[in-house]
Amino acid sequence: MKGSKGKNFLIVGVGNPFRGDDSVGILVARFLKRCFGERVKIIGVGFSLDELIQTWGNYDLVILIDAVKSKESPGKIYRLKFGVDEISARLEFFSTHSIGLIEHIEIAKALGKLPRELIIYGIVGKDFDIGGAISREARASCKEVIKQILSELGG
Amino acid sequence: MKDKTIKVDYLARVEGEGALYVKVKNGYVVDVKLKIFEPPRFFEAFLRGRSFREVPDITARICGICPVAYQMSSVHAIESIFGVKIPGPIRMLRRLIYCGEWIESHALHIFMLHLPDFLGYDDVVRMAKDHPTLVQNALRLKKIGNEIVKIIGGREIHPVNVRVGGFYKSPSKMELKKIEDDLKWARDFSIESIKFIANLEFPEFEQDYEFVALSHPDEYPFNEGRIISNKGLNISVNEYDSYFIEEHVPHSNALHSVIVGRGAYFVGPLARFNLNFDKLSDVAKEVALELDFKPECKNPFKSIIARAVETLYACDEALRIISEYEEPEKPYVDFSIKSGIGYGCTEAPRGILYHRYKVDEKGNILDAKIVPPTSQNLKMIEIDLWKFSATYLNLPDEELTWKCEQAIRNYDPCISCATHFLKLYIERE
Repeated sequence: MKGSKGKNFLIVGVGNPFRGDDSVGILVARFLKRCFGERVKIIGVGFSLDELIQTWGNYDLVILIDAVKSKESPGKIYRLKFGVDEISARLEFFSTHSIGLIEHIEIAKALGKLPRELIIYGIVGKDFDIGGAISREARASCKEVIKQILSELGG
Repeated sequence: MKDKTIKVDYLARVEGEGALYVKVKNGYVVDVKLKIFEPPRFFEAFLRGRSFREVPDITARICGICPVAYQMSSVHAIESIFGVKIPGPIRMLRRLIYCGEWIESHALHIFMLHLPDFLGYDDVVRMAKDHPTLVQNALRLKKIGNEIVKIIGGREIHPVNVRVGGFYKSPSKMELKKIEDDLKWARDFSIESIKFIANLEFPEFEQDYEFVALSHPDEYPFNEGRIISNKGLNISVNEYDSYFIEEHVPHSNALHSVIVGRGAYFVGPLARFNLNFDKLSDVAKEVALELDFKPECKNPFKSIIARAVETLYACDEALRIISEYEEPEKPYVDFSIKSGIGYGCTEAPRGILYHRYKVDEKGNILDAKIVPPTSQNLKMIEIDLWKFSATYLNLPDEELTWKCEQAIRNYDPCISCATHFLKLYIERE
């Protein structure tokens, strides 16, 4: 399927809706799903990323959205292009799974399954407590990330 | 030898959050603590007052790797109160969905979490760079397991189709037939993997374990059977509370289980293999014997072989069930709600999972008890580490730490389940 800029793309929101700011990836993806339907995948606690990476090689562009643990202020948005920007060790993508987001990307790379372009949006979270609510800062950044992705896709 | 403490603040490649602490003084191990930080999750408390109908879906949420096990133990426990008898085809579907869970869970642990230890990689990412085909095949195997769970359970993780009395909807024979070819591939890949895994190098380490597993007269156990051990235990599931107790330990948010008067015990694939070898499928038995892997294996590091043999068994059993399956006229059986206490124990990928429920005459839960396999293994893991680390104290800290982590992973601990992250500390004073 083609986006308005002619790219065959996939959007993947990753997170846990029951752990406060870890829900940001899910919230952004839910909104974008209304615009792009099946081109958006939501990877919550109930789904596993390893099956999805095997399809990435079929896309021109994959956009991932996830929460980040960092010393930067909550709500800060990172936009990283895999293979171009250095994904520094100071950025910890929050994961309740045994194998995290970056590891999955590295496995995809080792298996030759990377899309032509892989962009990761990370939103710095404040509170990851089980059952916690999303913070005001993270919620505001979700809206901003949605705008940036829509603009990126020319929508 | 210098006294010291080795600490691993974050134990990787296990499910959940915990840490390990080993203290060495005058050349002797003087303390080992497997610390579980993951907060208690209070499932047993918030089940109280809920309808029995909600129990399989609520307890499935305890674990993203083995939700089927929670659903199976809970429905069997509740069905034992209502006197529900499950007919053949539904019983087969329950075995089949369990095959799916064993395949996906075992594939994840063997290849993604434990094999990097044996091949000398820090993690599966580095292993994938040198062994891309192996990792690719492992992912395919895991996906096939998930596919079975999805077809029967409605979705692959936290399935939604299991209910007391059976299923909400039964799959057609055609739906199951669709995965036959994939399962045949999975069976062949499992045979290859067992041969590869059995020839890995294993640390020389054995203990006189008490292995505990379910035992069924006619089949390798999933959902039914008596609880037996290699040291004479042979009890029905409803006697569990008289023989096993859970203890609080100050350093852990997970309880430790022991056999009354005897202490720690060992559950999971190696225990099942040792106690049920004759019930494996012919091909699984042949491949194991060909590689001289037979009961009673007392080396916990060889759990990875048992896990691989069980993966082959699960593929084989799934194929058998699919070929014999006829869709039931109705996917569940009717029953009357009664008050009472019910007990269920099934074989989760990591070992026996015990549930007990007390319900009132409307079927509301008055009391619940859930004992996951990891909390049953925790005490045994600590004892293993105590003895195992003592034989490797001359190693540099980094290597010793790695070996201890590998020893923990023998049990495929699921910390999320046991609490209800893992970090390691080795202290030399």
